[in-house]
Amino acid sequence: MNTANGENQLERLVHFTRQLAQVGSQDSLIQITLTGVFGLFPAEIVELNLLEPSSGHILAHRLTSPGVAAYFQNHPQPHYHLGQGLTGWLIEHRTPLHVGDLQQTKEPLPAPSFADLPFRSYLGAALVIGEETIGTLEIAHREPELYQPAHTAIFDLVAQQVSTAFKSCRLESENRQLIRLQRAVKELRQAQHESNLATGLDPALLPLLAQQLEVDLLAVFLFQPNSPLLTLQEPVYGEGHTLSGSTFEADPSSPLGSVLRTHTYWLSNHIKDDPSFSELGLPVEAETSPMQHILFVPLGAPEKPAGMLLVGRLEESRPFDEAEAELLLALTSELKIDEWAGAPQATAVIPDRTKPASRPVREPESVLQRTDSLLRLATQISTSLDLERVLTQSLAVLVDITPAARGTMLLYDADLNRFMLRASSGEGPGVPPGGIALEHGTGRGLGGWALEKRQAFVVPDLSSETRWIPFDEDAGNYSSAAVAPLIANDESLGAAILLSHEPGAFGDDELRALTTAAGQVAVAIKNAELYLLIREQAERMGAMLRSQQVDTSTSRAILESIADGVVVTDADHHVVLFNAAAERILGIDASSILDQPVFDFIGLYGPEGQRWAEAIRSWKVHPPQLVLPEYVSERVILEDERVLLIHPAPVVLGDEFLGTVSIFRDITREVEVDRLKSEFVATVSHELRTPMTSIKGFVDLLLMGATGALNPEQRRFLDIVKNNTERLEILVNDLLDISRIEAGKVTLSFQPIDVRELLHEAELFIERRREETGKKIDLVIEASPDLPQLWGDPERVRQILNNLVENAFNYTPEGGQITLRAEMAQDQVEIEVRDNGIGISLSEQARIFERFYRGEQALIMGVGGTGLGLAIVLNLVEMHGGRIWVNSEGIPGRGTTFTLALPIASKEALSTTPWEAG
Amino acid sequence: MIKILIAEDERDIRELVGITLEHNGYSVVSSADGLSALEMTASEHPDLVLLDVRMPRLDGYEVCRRIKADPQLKHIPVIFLSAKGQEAEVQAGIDAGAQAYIRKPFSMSELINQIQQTLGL
Repeated sequence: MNTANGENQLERLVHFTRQLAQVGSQDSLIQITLTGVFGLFPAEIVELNLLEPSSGHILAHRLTSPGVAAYFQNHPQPHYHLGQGLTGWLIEHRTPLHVGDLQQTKEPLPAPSFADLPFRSYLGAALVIGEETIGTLEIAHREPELYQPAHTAIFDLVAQQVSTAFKSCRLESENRQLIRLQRAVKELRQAQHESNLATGLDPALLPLLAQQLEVDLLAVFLFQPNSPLLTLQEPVYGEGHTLSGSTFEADPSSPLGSVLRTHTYWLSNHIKDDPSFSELGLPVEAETSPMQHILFVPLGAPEKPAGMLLVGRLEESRPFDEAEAELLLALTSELKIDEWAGAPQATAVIPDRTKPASRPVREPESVLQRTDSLLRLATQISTSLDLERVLTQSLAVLVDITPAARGTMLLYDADLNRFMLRASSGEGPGVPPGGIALEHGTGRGLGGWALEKRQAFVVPDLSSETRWIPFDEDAGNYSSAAVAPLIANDESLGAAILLSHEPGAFGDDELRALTTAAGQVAVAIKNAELYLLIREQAERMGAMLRSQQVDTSTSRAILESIADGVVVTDADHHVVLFNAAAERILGIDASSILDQPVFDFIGLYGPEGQRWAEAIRSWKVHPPQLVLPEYVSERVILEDERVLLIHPAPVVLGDEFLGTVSIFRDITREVEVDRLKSEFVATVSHELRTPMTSIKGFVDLLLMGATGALNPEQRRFLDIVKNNTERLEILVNDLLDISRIEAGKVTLSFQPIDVRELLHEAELFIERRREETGKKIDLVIEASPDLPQLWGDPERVRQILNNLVENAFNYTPEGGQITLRAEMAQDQVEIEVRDNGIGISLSEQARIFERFYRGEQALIMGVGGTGLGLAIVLNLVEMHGGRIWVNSEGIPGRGTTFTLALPIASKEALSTTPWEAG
Repeated sequence: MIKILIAEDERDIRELVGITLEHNGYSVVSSADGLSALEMTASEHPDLVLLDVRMPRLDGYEVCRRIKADPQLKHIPVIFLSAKGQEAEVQAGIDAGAQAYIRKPFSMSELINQIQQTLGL
């Protein structure tokens, strides 16, 4: 999956989990789950199978792609039972199942519920909350091997989220029932109070109770004194009830007797289909009774049942559930319906219920408080993703609604096999953020034991409890405890421990409250972890995508907007970017070249294009790694005579070849301007030379005496004209030279040059200058006999050396000395031109190679020159790959030394063809 | 007497070269454009031709090429006199069949030396 899809999927996932968290009713939750999962995964079928706790049936809810939907219209699927198909397998094994191809599994698997359809790829997960399995979530597709590891990870996560949502939904509906019952209790208590019956139940209250419980039948049976006979107390609430007798037997050894004795509720939904119903021997005929669902709870203390309360419902669609039954049980114990105010004979049969129980007797209000508190807790937990807060608030509520003086949460760190004391409420010290590491792990201590046995329990007397490991100093001060494991999705998370100073402070009710809270806390811990994970992933991914997008869009915008043509190819030489300038310069539409091999269009550009293509090809085969590749540039002349300069370059990250970038520039105009400039300079110099020829020539004629003898003054003046003409000639030549060098118009013809010969020519040059000027300058030549040949353009090297020697000659006064010395230095020959003339000051040394710069002394001495000589020399030396530098103390008489270093002619150089510079 | 043809559109140069050569004992005929220079070479049969490169009607290179292409004339040595002093231009002159190439501005002694050298004197 690419990053864009990944981001969309993440967005959908976050949206989906948010929706799940907000859902109220189970029906809408089913719809949201189906559509959400359908949107998240490539699936042709999404199946949400829910276990109906009351009947043990599995009810399938499906969302299918249109093609698959037609199948299910023709093949309605009946409800099916536990253990059947893949759904049954999932519920039994409680683990996720990922199958690449259902038609080729290594181990035999049962057929899925949609076995008639050729589905191949399959993901399934049991929906598990703590110990309870509520159903399965399954998706499938006819294409095999469709689901990637990323899919399965997200699918498992989604299954957990869905489980949590269903659990929350059920809890919420239970809470709504709790509220309903609270109201019932309240109203009944109020009615009891008004009727002045401390412990009895006024039959007049029956309609009220029935209304609150939303039942259609309500009957009270009480035991006869010292008899196993249960007698129906009149009146019975309910129209058309068909109780088959007013008295029936409930022997303690009979099924009914044991139900009453163990103080549990008993419910039978769809009594006509329930064979165990008639075996119980209730005075209700399943065949004839209009009741569809029956629920009864014992009255009185467990050790001495006083009777029972029987309720029934007519509507088939409204079965009783366990939560309702639990609550009815709680209600009857709270209401103390031991007496029947409506029937005088009942007054004598009440067992002794006035003595306080061994455990603290809860006031009726405590039920209200407890349900209130649990409701508050559920709401808080389901909305809070802050783990510390969830733990602390849960404990505060538990300490509040139970006799506990202190509540603690131990979270289990599986990596270290250790518990962390993560939260504490009530007495005792607080817990620092991150918790306190404890010495013991699973299997040890009360928490460890609860986690290992996966079971909640009460310890009435801590002093005789060997498993008890007090986790801090305060923990040693308590007498009794209630402990519940924190388990979510089969994963051991830790334990909740309530502590009291009173021995035997915790009973079943407290344990039930603790277990309920522990279940919620476990889910919340899991939720907090998942949300943290999702949020981190989302943030990381978001940040990554943002930075990528910024990078990409910025560089794209830059590349698009620059005036040069840019063509970017990927590692496979396909064009991935072809900017607007490239379209314009090459006259090719980007859409016709994008994603095509770059060679398709390079081929249009002849031999130069071929060299370009070869460069690009070679980079893929031999990725340039640490060393930057040689700078490649090609000049391509298009059919319409436009000139393009192309610079291709490889894009390399580390040692990975990512592609190439080629920059095009239309240099037609530059080439034209360059040509015009050369033409201009050539024209100007031509136009200057012709008149100069005339001036020089006629002066020569006059000096030759072609027009008769000259007097000395005439001769002197003509000499001045002649000298200045020569200066002008040098200036024109230098100007032409430097402009051509700088325009890259000067090409060098490299060949081996004999150094001694070169020095000899310089010697001749000085001799000529001596003759011309009559200036007496000594010349010394120092050269070892075994110097290798230089590699250069003989005429240009001569020009360089003559220029240096000329300078030495000009700036050395009469009687001075010039030394020419040549020697090897590494792989170059160094030629020194040393004089003992006026020298060059340090400040001037930095500028002498600038164009038109002339030293102060030169002007004072009246030496002619253009200030271009050394600039030309520097250019020529660099074109030869050589160096030139100057040394002078700037003191007259100490002179100046110019050193010229030029490469020697190597064997390779001797064998190569002339190389073109510029 | 050795006869030299000077073909040069610039009147001053033509006169300068003419005076200089006569002063040095040569007989001189002159022409101001390429085409007449070619005709005069055929009619006058000079011992040496001095050619400017840039001339009206026919440039110096072409005049040289035609002289060298004519079996009657090709033995006559040709020297270019030109302000176009770049290597490529000098080479073009040599390629056209000229014996020498003198860059403007030149000194009269340079000219006389080159003429003597070319004529093998």
